[in-house]
Parts: sequence; structure tokens; C-alpha cells
Amino acid sequence: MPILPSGIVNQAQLAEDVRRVVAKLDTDEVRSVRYRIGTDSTGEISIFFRIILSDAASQESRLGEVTGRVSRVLFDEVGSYEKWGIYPYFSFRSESEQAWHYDGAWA
Amino acid sequence: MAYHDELLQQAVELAHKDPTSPKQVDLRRAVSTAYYAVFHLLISETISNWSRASSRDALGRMFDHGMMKKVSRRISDPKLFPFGGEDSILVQNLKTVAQSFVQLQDQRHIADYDNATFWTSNEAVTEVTKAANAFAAWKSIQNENIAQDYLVSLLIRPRD
Repeated sequence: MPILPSGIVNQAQLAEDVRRVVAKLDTDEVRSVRYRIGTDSTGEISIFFRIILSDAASQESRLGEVTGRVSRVLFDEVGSYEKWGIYPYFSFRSESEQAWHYDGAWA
Repeated sequence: MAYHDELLQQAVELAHKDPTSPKQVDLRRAVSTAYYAVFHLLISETISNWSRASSRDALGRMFDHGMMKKVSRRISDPKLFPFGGEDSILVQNLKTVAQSFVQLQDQRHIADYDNATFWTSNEAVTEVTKAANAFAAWKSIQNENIAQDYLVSLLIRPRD
């Protein structure tokens, strides 16, 4: 049970919160969501989401809307910043990009 | 065209320079440039409020990346900024600007310094789009009090 800045957080609780929110996302758009806890460029404890989108959702005409909406849902509904002061960061790849340049951290 | 607009345009061009075989140098510079576009947008908007034009460039040098990020993070804390009675759309647009700044600054750090990180085209385009969305969100709120208060706060170290 790691001690985080704004209190003691059970990682199982965080995982459950993430799982609950991810279950609400459209599987036609979001293929997988992974995360890790680490520090950002200014040394603040943060949560880094790596999100793989379907190729259809990754079309540039949709990318801004989809990534903005998914980020907002994860930011607001997981609520890691509000509850524990852990700021969330989001990165997005397409399915075909992950297949082309496999990275285990995203899988 | 203002400098921040040129930076955003350059970021778009770098992210799309070679769609079939994108080079890491172009994608990383696109992400870095997208951050600097938003950074200079916020500085430009702040210093334009200073009535004496000859002092504006000097005022612009007062901005600190770390402090701007710290202030921008706090905008999303409802305990510090409940925004009671404010139009929810205006508040969401302000949060879009502030959150984009925070996200882009961290990605800029990775793009500029972390040689171990491989960038895909989508990742870079996402960050450039984030900057473009921040520009659009800013344009819709730039004359609102909450937006102008945010600009002032970027120059004031918050009390923890």
C-alpha cells in the first residue's frame, strides 16, 4: 500500500476505480487502457494512462474529439487528482501502430 | 501572424511531414513545438493587457514554466477552484486550456530529453491537436473574467 501525497491509497481501490470507468468507454473506440504510477517532469506523483484506440477512432478527423472525450472521462470519473492529488496524463496510440511497433508497456 | 500561431502551424506541418514514414526527429519536434505554441499564446495574451507596449517583452520574460504548470494543475482542483455560479461551458473551456498546458509540458519534456521513448504518428498528432483545441478553447473564453484571472495567476506563485 503506497503512501501518496494526499493520503493512503489502496492500489486495489484505484484499479477498481479505473476498471469501473474503463467499462463505460465505447469498445469500438477504446481497445485497451493501461496505467502506471510514477513522477512527472516536475517530480509530482502522477498516473500515466496509455490508451490504445481502434484504427477507426484514430482517424485524424476523429482523433481530437475522441482523445479529448476519453481523457475527460478518465480525468473526471476516476478522479485521481481530486481524491488523492495524483494528476493524470494521457497518451494514445492506434491498434495498428501498436502492432507495428509493439511496446509491452501499452499491451 | 502571431508567433504562437506560427508555432502551432509549424507543429502541424512537422507532425504531418512524412505520413508514410515519419521520422522521430519530426514527431518529437512537433510535440515540443505544440507545447511552445500554447506557452507563447498564454504569455502573449497576458502581456497584451499591459498598457505600455514597450514593457511587454520584458514582462513576458517573467513567466516560469514550472510555476505555470503548478497553477494550471490547480485549476482542476474543485476544492481550490469551485467556480460556483460560473457558466459550466466557460469553466470546461478554461480547464481544457489549463489541462492541455500541463499535459503538453510533460510531453514536451519527454520529446526533448527522453531518447528511449518511441513516438508514433498518432501520439504526435494527438499532442498537436491538443494544442489546437487549447487555442480554440482559449478563443472562446479570452474575454471572460475567469480566463483573465487565470492569466494573472500564471505570474503569481500559489500558496501551498
